[in-house]
Amino acid sequence: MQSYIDEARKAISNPVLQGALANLQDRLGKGAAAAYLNLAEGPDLRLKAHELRMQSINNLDVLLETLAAQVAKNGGRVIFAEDAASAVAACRDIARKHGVCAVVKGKSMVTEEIGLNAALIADGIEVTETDLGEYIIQLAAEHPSHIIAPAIHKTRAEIGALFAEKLGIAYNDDPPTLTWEARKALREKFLAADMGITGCNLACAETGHIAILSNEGNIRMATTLPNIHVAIMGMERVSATMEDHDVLLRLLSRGAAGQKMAGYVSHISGPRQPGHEDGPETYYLIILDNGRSRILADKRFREILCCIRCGACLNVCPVYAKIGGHAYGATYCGPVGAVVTPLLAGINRSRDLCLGETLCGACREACPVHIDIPRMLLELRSMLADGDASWQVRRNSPLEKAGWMIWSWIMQDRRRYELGARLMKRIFP
Amino acid sequence: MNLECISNQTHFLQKIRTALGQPAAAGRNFHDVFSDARSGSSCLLNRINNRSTLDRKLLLDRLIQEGRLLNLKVISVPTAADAARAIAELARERAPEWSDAKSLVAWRHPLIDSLNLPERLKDQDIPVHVPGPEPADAGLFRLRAQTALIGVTSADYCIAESASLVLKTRPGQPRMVSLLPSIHVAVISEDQLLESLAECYALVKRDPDAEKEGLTCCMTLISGPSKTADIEAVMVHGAHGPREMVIYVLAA
Repeated sequence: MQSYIDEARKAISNPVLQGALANLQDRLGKGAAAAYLNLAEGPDLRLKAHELRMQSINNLDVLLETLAAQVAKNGGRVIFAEDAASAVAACRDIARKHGVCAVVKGKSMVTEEIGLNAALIADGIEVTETDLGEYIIQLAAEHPSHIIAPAIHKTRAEIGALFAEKLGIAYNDDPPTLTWEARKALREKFLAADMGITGCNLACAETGHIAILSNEGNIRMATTLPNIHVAIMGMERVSATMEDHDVLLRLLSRGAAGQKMAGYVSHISGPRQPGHEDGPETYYLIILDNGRSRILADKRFREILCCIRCGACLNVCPVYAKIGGHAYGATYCGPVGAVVTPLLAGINRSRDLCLGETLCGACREACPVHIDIPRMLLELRSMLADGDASWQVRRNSPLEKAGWMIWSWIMQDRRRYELGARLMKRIFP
Repeated sequence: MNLECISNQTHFLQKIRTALGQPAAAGRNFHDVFSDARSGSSCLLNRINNRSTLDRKLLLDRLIQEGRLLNLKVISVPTAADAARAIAELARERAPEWSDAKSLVAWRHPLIDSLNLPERLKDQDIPVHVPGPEPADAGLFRLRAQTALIGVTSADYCIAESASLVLKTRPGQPRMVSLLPSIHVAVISEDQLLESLAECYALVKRDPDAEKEGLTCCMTLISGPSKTADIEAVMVHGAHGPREMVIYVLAA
C-alpha cells in the first residue's frame, strides 16, 4: 500500500493541513477530555458504557430480533442486508418503487462504506449531502477526512472559491456568509426532496427507535420533510434499553464534540402517524452486516464492534494529527480505522494501517466506550508477523520472521549464544 | 412482511448466532437476557414527583446557566401574558429571512393557545398560523412554516443539565414548527423541568400516561439553535434550522 506512505508524506508537507489538524485536536481532543470530567458519574462512566456495549454485542441476535419486531410494530419496514451490494440494491429498489427523483442525505459513514451515492446517481437520482462539511466535500468531489468534521482539510479560501464556482455567488471567505449561502442552497434541496437517507447513531431494541444526532439540523430536515425516510445502520449499532441510551448518548456527545448533548437528537420510531402534519409516510430501516459477523466471530476483535463512531480517537491520535484522514485510504480513518479497515477490507491489503499507529494508548483513554484499540493493533501486527489462516493473512515478511526465529533459537541456549557472540566479534570487530 | 424478508432475517440472525457460538435455535428472549431496570426508574419517578419549589428554582438556574453556553436564551416570566408580550417584541425587532413579510407559526396546544398570539400581534399586522384540524390542511401549513420568522412550540419536558427541550410529535404539534422558521421560541411551565436525560427516559418509559403514548413517531431533543463549525472550526449559528432560540419558562 504505497499510497499510505505517499499520502502521509503529502499531508505532512502541507502546512495548512498541519495547522488545521493541530487546531482540531486542540479544540475537540481537549474538549472531550474536559467533558468526561463533568459527567455526574465521573469519567469512569466510560467503563460502564464498555460493559453495556459488550453485553449488547454478545447478545446481538436477541437485540436485532427484538429491534426488528418493534420497528415493524411501529409501522416501519426492516431490511437485513448481508453485504454492501444488497444494501445498495435495497435502496435502489425503494427509490425505483416510489419514483424518487431527489435524495437528501444526512451525514453517514455507513453509506460511504457501501458506496451508495454513486449507485443512486447512476440511476439518474439527484443525491445531495446536507451536512455542511459533507456538502463541501461533495461539491469538491472528494472524500471525508474525518468522521465528524469531514472538510477539516479545506481552508476558507478554498471553500469560498468552490462556492463561487459551484453556486454561482460572488467570492468571499467569511465562514458565516459561506454557511448561510449553503443554508439557502440546501433549503431548496430539502423542500424538493422525495427521499431522505440517514445513518443511525444508535438503535434501541426495547422501543424500536433509532437515535440520530446532529448540530446543524440537517438530519431533522431529512427525516421530517421528504415522504420517504431510509435509515441505514451497521448491525452492531443497537443497544438494549433506554437506560443504555442515556449513558451512551451523553458519552457520544462528549466524545464527538465535547458537548453535554448534541444540538439535536431525533428519536425516530416509525413513519408519520394518522393526523400528523409532517414526517415521512414510509420508513425503512436497513441493517447491514458487510463483514461485521466475521469480526463478531473472532473474540480478539469483537470489542471493536462496541465503537459508536464518534471520532474521539482521531482527535487525540499523534499519527492522525500528522497524516490526516486521507492517508488511511478508506472510509474509516484514525485509530478506529486502523483496526476496522483491515478487518473489513483485508489485513494484508491494509497492513500499513496496522503498522502506522504508535500504540501510545491515547485513543483508548479518549474513547467514550473505552475500547482497547492498541491491544487489537498488536493482535493485527502479530497476525501479520505469524500469518493467520482464519483471516487468510500471509506473513508480512517471511525473511524477517526467519531472522527472528534464528535469533530466538540462539538466545535460548548459553553455548549457542556465546558461539554467536564470538562469531559476531569476528565479523564486526 | 413478505416471505423473502423473513427468510433474509432468519439467515442473517443465524449467521450472528453462529458467530456468537450460540446453538441454532437458542430460544433466548430479550427479557431473559436484559434484566429490567424498573427499580431504578421508579426511584427517579419519585424524585421527579417530590421536587420542592426550591429544587425547581435550582433546576431553572441550572437551565439558564447551561443555556447561556449554547447561545440559548432562557427567560423566566411570571405569566403567559408576559411571554406573549416578549414574543411580540421579538417579532418587532427581528427581520424576516425567508419572505418579505413577517409571520409566525405555532403549535395547537393549550399553553400556546393561552398566549393569544394572534391578538398580541394584530397591531403589527403579523399573522399567526396554527395547524388546522383537517389532515388536508397540512400542505398549506408547511408552506406557512417555510416562510415564517418565528415558530412557537411548547415541549413535553426540558432537561436542565444539558439545556435540552424534549418535544414529542402529535397532531397539531408538528416538528417543522421548531425547524423551518428562522427563530424557535418555546414556552413551557416551570414544573416541566427535569434534571437529567435519565429522568426524561424514566418518564417516557414508566410514567403511566407517557408510557401509553410511548415516544411517538419522533421525539426530538433540542439543545440550542442550529449550529455548525465545519468551515475552519468557526462556530456559526443557523446552519439549517433556527439561527436563534428562546425558551420562556412560566412560574408554576
